[in-house]
Amino acid sequence: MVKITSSDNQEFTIAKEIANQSVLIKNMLEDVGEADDQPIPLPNVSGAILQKVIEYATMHKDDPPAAPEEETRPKSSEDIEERDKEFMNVDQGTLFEVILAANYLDMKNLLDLGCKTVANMIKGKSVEEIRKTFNIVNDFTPEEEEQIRKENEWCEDR
Amino acid sequence: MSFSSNRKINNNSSCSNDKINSNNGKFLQKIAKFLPERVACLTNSKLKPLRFSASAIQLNSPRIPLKKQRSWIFIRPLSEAGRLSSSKENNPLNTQLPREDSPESLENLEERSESPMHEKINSFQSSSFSGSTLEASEINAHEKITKIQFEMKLPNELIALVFSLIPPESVTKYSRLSKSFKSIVTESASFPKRNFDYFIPAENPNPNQPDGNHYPHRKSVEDQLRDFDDIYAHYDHFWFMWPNNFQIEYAKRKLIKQPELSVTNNQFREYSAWMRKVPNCTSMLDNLREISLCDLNMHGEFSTVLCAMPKLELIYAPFNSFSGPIPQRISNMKNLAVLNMGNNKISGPFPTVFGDFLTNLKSINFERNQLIGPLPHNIGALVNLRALTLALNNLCGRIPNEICCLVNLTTLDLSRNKFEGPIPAGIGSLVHINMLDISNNKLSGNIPAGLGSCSALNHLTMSRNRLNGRLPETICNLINLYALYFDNNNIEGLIPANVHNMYRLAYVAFHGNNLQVPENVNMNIRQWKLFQEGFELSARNY
Repeated sequence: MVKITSSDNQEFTIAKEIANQSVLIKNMLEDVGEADDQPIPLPNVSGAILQKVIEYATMHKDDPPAAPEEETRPKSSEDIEERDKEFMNVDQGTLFEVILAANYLDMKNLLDLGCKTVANMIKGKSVEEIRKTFNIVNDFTPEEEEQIRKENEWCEDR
Repeated sequence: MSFSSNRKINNNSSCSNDKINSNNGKFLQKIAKFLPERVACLTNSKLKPLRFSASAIQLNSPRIPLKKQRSWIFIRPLSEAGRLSSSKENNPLNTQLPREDSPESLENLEERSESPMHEKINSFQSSSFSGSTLEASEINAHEKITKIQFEMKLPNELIALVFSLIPPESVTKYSRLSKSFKSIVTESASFPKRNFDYFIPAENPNPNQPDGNHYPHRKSVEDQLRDFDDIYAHYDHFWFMWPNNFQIEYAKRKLIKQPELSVTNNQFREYSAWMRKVPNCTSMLDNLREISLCDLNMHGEFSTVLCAMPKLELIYAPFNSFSGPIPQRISNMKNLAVLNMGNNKISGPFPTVFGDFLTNLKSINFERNQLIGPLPHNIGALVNLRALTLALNNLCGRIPNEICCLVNLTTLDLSRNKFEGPIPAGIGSLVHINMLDISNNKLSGNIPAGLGSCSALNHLTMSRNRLNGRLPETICNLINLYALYFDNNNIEGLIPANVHNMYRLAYVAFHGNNLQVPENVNMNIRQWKLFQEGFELSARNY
């Protein structure tokens, strides 16, 4: 069993094969060694998010490792497992936090899933819709924006 | 994935179960005034107590774009443990973790794109919130757990990661989102790389991989190769519209795959309204052998565009807007066999460089350009030439006699220029020629008798010149002739008596001369009728 603590000092005790899905924790465990029963601090991840991440890791603890040659084939962000879709059905703030946590904890699959989910939110939307959805401030002058719009007119409706 | 959040912000006492419906920050100001000390947040249907920072709300409230309770309002619950954490500022274990204080800039991202992501983004937590929120949490040092996230504030690396999952044919439109997005998408070299890694396979499938029996779900190598070809055929079209960093990355991948680049077909026409330029990465195209860019409305200097690709054998780029003169540097392209630049805006003279260096040329087409000056004498060195099409230019001077050395010519079109002087007398040596068009020039003198030796001719047009003299008898030897146009010259005398030899003739135009049909002409009724019309008609099928 491995103990980890979140930024707000919530302590979680999880099985080692679950913890090892995070390359960060795995490396730490290897560095620290088995004997140490100090909890591992994760100052960048809050308790709520950590709980979510553990939920994901538990769900996927029995997954077989991906075949290496599968990496070369062209992929699609559409292709998400149903349970993962369900898992990612959270508000946008949580979604971003999970992505950040996955990145920090170095959990490739979860990071992929998070990015795919956001990408699917973006896909097919117009630039204006994206700005609205993600509240991105347009810092171009109208002339500059028009210029860029012209250059990319060919893909505007794609 | 729904964008509107299910979260409700409940007040412990009077405002419980009150949904946020306000369109602006007024609501938050109201509850902050009302009873700000403890606010409950409903997360995952568990009610957790939450400490809510009033000053954080006030600092941020002008920027809150509340619309139907949008999902970016993220209020993190504060647990008892959380408070302990924030008071324990100097956790000694923190020092074990690698940290970087500044958010990664894009330059760093590029330089270090090989290193794993997590090494670079340990400080995401601090960089992921806007400045004012940070200030707020500094003010409330003991209550800094409460954060409200208003914007997409992932660090640039993660934004790039997310956007690299958008197909390359549409991702560039998002460069309009904001300046930082633009720099990610259109300026970094790593972004297209990552993007293509996802959508465009970089390498051919390994033919030595285990066979399909072991992996029944996998396609055969042949199928995979076909898939790859399809993918590349699809993305070739976008090459010319992508920003430069995409073009360069694509060129790298493309040329591992195949040395031909062909962008010709009609589905491309839907984009033809947009300005396009040739990829700026032509130095990557050293090994390209064929390039086809038909009717793409492309523009740019001919020289810079194509001469950087020394191994090209075929340039097929008609119906574009290439400009500038034919460059001297084209002499590098020793393998060039086909050069079709018809219907462009190429100017300057027809250079000597072709005859000097490019004797492998089989076909030259500069139809409808802006070439000027005379044809050089060394054109005779192009002995492999099968087709020379220079119609609709402003070429002038005499047609050089050396053109008769091009014995392999099958097509010679010099029409609609300003050539003058006689037709070269040795033209009869072009024994393979089947299409000769020298109409609409200022050519004068007789029609050379040697023309009768061009027995392969089936299309002969000499209309609208200043040719005079008589029609040579030998013309009746052109038994394969199908179309014959002499109209609008000063040819006089009689039509040769043996015209019936040209039994395939179907189109003639003789009008505008002083020709007469002799009484004893030997022709059948069909020919007679045809010649009658040839006299009378102005430009039949012409």
